[in-house]
Amino acid sequence: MEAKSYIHLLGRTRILITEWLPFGENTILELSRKLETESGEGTHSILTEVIDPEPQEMIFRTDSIPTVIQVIRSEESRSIDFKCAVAYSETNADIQEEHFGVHVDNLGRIIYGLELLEAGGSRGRYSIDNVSSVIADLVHDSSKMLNTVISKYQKRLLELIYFNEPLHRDKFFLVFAEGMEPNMDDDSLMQFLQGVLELKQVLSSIKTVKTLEDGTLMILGAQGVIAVGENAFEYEQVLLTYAFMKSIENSLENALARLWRSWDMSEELKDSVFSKEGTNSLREINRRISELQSDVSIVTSVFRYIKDTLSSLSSVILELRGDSVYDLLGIDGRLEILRRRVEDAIPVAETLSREVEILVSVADTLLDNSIVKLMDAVEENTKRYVAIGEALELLEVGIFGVYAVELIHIALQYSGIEEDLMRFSFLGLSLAFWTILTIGLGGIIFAWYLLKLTKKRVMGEHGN
Amino acid sequence: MGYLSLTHDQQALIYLLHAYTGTQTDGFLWVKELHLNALIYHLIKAGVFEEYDYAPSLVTFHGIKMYAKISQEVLWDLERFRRIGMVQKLKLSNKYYDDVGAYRLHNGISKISRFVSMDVMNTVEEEIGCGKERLTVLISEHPQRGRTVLDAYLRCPPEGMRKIDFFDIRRIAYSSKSYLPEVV
Repeated sequence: MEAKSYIHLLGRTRILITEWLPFGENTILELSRKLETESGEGTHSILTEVIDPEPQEMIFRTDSIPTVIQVIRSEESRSIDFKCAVAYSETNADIQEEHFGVHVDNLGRIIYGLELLEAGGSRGRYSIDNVSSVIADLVHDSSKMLNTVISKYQKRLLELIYFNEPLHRDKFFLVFAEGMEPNMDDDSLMQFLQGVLELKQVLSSIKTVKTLEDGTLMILGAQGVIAVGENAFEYEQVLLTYAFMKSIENSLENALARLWRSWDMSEELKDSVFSKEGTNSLREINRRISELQSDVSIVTSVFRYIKDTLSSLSSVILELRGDSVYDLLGIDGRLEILRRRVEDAIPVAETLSREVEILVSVADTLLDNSIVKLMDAVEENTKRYVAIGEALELLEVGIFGVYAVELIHIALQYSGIEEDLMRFSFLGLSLAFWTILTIGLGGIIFAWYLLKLTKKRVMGEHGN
Repeated sequence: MGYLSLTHDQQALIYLLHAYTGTQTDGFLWVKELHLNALIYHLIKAGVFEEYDYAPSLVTFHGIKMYAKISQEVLWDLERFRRIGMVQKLKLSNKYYDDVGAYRLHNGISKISRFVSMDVMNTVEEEIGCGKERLTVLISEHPQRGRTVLDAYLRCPPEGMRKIDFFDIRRIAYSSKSYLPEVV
């Protein structure tokens, strides 16, 4: 059962969600190509993030048509506006008809926008709870949709700074409505405890509540802004700029979190490099260092992109000065803080990058040394195996000698020659004895000489 | 829109998409663009299409760039059908980062006989029919004289596969003399 809602938004109600993602001119062109903007406005593109598992086959199968995109307008390498219809089963596609507009430009600004036609069975009067559900859906579905159009680099970047949870990244939102129930000014709203709690569910925490001269009520929260009044839509541009700055701030914070995590990882890896023994663990450490190096390089590029975006944003902001909400939102101060934070982050990231480079060379050297040691041990073992092999060969030759003696003995015995030889004696021993002894000793001496020669050659080849 | 407003070739194209994508009851089937072009090339040669023509165009498959015999009239008609909502196009990618287009007839077109005459259906069906199944195209790569090249095959389960010359571009005899513009 849905909780009772105390606050309702009235009339035309629009939700805008913003986020920042590096979108250089090349990425915009790539996106244009993907959305076939050259085919003209109105062309529908159906996109899927599924990678074709059997490219050589003729037929491709999908379970549904999740994302349909229609280009509204595009400015070459600068911006693209498109409409989007999504149907994702995980966000109740069966009971929703979700259409939203998307603006992407080379500042990296992404705006998703929708106007509510109906929510929770009512039109023109939307409970804050229902609006909150729509925002949650739009945050998720816009991430999923964006995944079908962005480049591999952008996907990797999102995965990195949102710790492999890019679909659930937080975004800043703006809600515009023509009216609100109950109709209260800022003072009475702040005193209206239930109302404040309900708004907090949406905005996380409320920073400022202010009624402007034209009667527009502005509720600024940590995660979004609600603007209510007949003239609320007139503040769209300034609020979008504010929302964009909040989105940059959000990306910056996430990138910083990744940077600090990378610092920790570099410390852990440094300890591992000097404490671990064995080539296998060094190889594993080397692999992790390479991953860290790639992460640091991407995070550093994020800071540089943000720096460029902030520089470009300055000219946009100039046009907004004088707007009555401009000072309320503290745009100038916020921009300055953002600039300083990025300026501060870049050298930290660069230092880490150098640290990781040093770590790479240390690990490489240790791995090389370890391999040399391993090779020495292998060589030593090889020599031992050769010696053992030779001893075994000697034994085999000795055994062969014994068999040879036995064979001669049997041959002499069965040929009758033995008896002839037995007739002759030397030093009191039969000639048969001397024959067998001579052949036996001769064989052993020959085998000994042969092995000596082989060993000398083998050891000589190994440097001894 | 009755079938009389579509040319013979347009009807055959619509029926071709219907044959490969319009019969699935659960899920959606899509014909990949390059494979469709290869099949259409075969059907042009077989005389199914009367007016469509083909010429060498550069295509990319698995990151390999090759010239193939592509019918620009087909691509143009597909684009027109797409604009009026008869045909849908899916963009997908493969592990080689190729952008692959794939087409299907819109689900809303349930009665194909409203658009395509029985004669056209029979002509197409005769050529793509393959026992109880239908002729499909398989595109594969193989090394040839130090580089990787593509081949297209028609696959008919009872008969097996046979190669078609979709990627074999006709060489023509010509002579030339060197020329450089004087402005450079």
